[in-house]
Amino acid sequence: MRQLETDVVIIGGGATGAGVLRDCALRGMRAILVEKDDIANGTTGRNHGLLHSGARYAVTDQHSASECISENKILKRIAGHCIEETGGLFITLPEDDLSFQSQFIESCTTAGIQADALTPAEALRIEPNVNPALLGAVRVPDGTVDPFRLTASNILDAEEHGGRLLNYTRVTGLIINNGRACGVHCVNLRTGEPIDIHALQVVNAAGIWGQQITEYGDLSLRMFPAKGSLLIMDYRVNSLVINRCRKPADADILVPGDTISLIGTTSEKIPYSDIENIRVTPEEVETLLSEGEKLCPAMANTRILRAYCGVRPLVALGNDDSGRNISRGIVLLDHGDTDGLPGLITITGGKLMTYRLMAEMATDAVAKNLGNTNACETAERHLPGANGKNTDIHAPQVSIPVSGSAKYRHGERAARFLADDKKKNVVICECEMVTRGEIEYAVNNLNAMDLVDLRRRTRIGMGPCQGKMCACRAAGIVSEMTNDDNGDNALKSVSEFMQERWKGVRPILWGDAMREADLSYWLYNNLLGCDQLQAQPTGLTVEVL
Amino acid sequence: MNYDVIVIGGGLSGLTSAIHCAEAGLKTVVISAGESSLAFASGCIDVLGFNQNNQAVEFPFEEIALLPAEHPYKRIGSRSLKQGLSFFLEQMALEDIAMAHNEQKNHGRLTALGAVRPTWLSQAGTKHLPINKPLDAIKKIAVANIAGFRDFQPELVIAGMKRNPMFANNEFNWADISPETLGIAVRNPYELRSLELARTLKRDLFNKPNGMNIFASALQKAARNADLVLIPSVLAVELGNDLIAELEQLTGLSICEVASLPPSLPGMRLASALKARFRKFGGILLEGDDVISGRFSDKHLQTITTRLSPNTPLSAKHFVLATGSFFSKGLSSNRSELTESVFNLSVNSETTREQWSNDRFIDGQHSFTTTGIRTDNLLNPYREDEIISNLYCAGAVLSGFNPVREASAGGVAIATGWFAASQIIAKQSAV
Repeated sequence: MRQLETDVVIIGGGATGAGVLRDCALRGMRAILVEKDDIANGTTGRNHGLLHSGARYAVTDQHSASECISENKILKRIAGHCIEETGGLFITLPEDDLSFQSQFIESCTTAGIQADALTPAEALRIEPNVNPALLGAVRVPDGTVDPFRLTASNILDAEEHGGRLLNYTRVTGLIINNGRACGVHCVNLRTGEPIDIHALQVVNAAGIWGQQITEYGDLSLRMFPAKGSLLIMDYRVNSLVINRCRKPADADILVPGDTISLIGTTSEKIPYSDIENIRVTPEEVETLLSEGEKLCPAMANTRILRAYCGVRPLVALGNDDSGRNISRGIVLLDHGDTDGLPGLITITGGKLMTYRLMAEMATDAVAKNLGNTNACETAERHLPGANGKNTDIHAPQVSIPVSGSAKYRHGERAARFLADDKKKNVVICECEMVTRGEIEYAVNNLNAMDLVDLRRRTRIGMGPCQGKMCACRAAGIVSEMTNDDNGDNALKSVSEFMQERWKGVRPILWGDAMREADLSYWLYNNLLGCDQLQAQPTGLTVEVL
Repeated sequence: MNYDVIVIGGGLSGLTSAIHCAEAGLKTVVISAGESSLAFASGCIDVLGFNQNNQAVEFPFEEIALLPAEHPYKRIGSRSLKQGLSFFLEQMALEDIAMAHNEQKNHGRLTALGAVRPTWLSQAGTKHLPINKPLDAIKKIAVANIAGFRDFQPELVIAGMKRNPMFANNEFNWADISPETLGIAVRNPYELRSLELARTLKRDLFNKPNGMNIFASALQKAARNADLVLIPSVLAVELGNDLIAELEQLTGLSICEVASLPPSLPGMRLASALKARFRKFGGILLEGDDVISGRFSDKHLQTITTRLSPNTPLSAKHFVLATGSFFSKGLSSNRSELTESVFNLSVNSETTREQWSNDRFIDGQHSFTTTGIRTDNLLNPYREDEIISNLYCAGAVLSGFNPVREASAGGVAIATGWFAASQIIAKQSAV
């Protein structure tokens, strides 16, 4: 049993948990974050990556709208490398009520969101792929945010200020002494080693999984999971975020990001027991396509790359088991005040967009309990990589698309791996221009432990070929670097990676996706014999020739 | 234009069929969209590696009788299968591609992930391995990667072999032969794919008087007295096997080339040999074009049109459709159905999209892999419930078999291609 001791232990490596780790570290508190999988593997990494202006909530929820626009401005400042300031359109189609537009603009203005009405011609000029049948459009400061980079940058900054991440470590219980939460029991899922982390404060930032954490303290926090499904297009069909100018509904946001666009989101309440087994249904695919094509008719002729889904962590307040009193806003509970269990704080609800604010609120509560009076700096201090746009990195051997992709993803930190070294500069993932150097950097500096983690840090395997060409290459590099049990983990991670990619391909298995899947199946099982490595066939006696 | 035979598809099956027709004196044209699946293939010919219970097969020809009736081997019979394979072997020998088999038995071929797959016919640079039986005469195995080549990972080859009990008594080593040692003069040698690496090695190393010796001594150093040395197939686009024999003489080592990630040079060697054979018999190869439609009447395919010449229909007495599966575009799919791409021939397929595949990618059973054209036992397809009697289907576009899971892709491609041609030749000589 390993024993660790710290000021604050944070449970959950989503954006919020990572934000709390950073905030604690910047305020000079010792902190450890525990995550059962990879960072950003839960809800953080399974949404549309929309940098909300708040306009979407302006009519129905002014409070959320104001939070969004305020965080929108902060993130543009501190996380430039994770964000694209694309701008967004709220379009009115013939089937929508155009009179909603004036109410929408008015609500945006009240919330402090700039909202400019455009004529259809003006909208088509700035977004040629928008449905030309539109009756009107409103331009708002929406953008896109990469949740993987955002989370990894928070962790990186936290680590550089003394914070610590234990990934692939599951919390198995709360340490409770004399009616007070004093830390967590954990187990390292890779090694099986049990770890006790003793802390003055425990922050539950486990999102939808937070209900299980409170159950360890015999508290009742009722979560109402809502599944949201999305589709990724193989091309960036739109340059601005496109929304419908009406009350939020299914599949009414088309978000461009990196090299792709994505359409979302459906919403379906699911039983809590199903949260680990969610999948995209054919019906959801149909809804997303038919609604998406209304926003952008070009979508009908665009290859769908994959489908994925996540779970929104909606919280019921008080002792409401019915789900009627569900909060869509940020929920902060100091269980010392609410349930008589001091030492435990839960931060939940909210959105990716408000992760920093949520982290600030949770860290304020922690700081108050610990008597730490240092001010929160996360709204001003830039995340590592955020200054990249203004950095000139000397990499004469690297082609501009390669160095451009590296800077786009890692900002000024790309200087750490764009080297004068031919072997490091070799492109491993040609779809997304990921070099060997970037892979080594992600393993050494960004806590990537296997291929699936690497994808979140670097976009490896996220392009048109979905990893079929680069998985083995990258696995070989990881194995060479980590020098683990002679490559067996690397081999295992190749199958896991292909399985993880398949999960997203299977719901949209037709057309080009079918062709790619057929080729992958042929390559991995015929050329490479991957299926035989899973289970050895029996009954053979063939002699050496 | 009028032909005796138009073969649609320039892969293993189409070319085998076309060579057979051309050799018999028929005026034959092959219309090929481009690089075939041979560029993704091992360059070995699998006949039947696994039976229907997924057990490795020792005597593939004996298993044919146990296959279901709709299997292409069952349709054409094991005699045709053997005749087709002999024909292929002869043609390859005439192009100096030496290939070896062990009569009725399968042997193992090693993959770039260290798996051993049962196959029947291998190129000379590939060592025949046992299947699931210890390598008695071999103790030390070395894996040598050449110039840090990206598409071959020695660690993964070794890790895969270590999972297999048949290698339990072996010792493993691996080493890189550096680009500097080989004197490769390109901007970044680590970025070369197999094909470029082979050409670069030829230009910068093997063309020099002492090139083979430099390579041999580097390989010897990397191999450290191993009993078997595995290298990626990057030495030559053609005649790679000759180089290996020469290296074995120079080093005294036993060397086995392993097909790398694509492009796979052993597969491409077969493709270029087949094309050369076809041209030597006066065949016409139209590359870079696709057949887009056909005109049918009287249960016959009369003419076809191509993408590049939509206004000039091509006619022939007989047609062979060897367009491959989904990735070769022989089969197509949309949200609700699986179809044959060119003539909308009848295919067997499950009804809903969810039934086309399985949750598990690598080890699941996917019905799309057995989807293909429905034919009769002469390989004539159904179109709107009619048999088209002058159109023959061959290779991966056929239904009734799972080329990957059974390890039967090469055998089915060759045998059905040869069978289709034999039917055509017989009909023509009867006229």
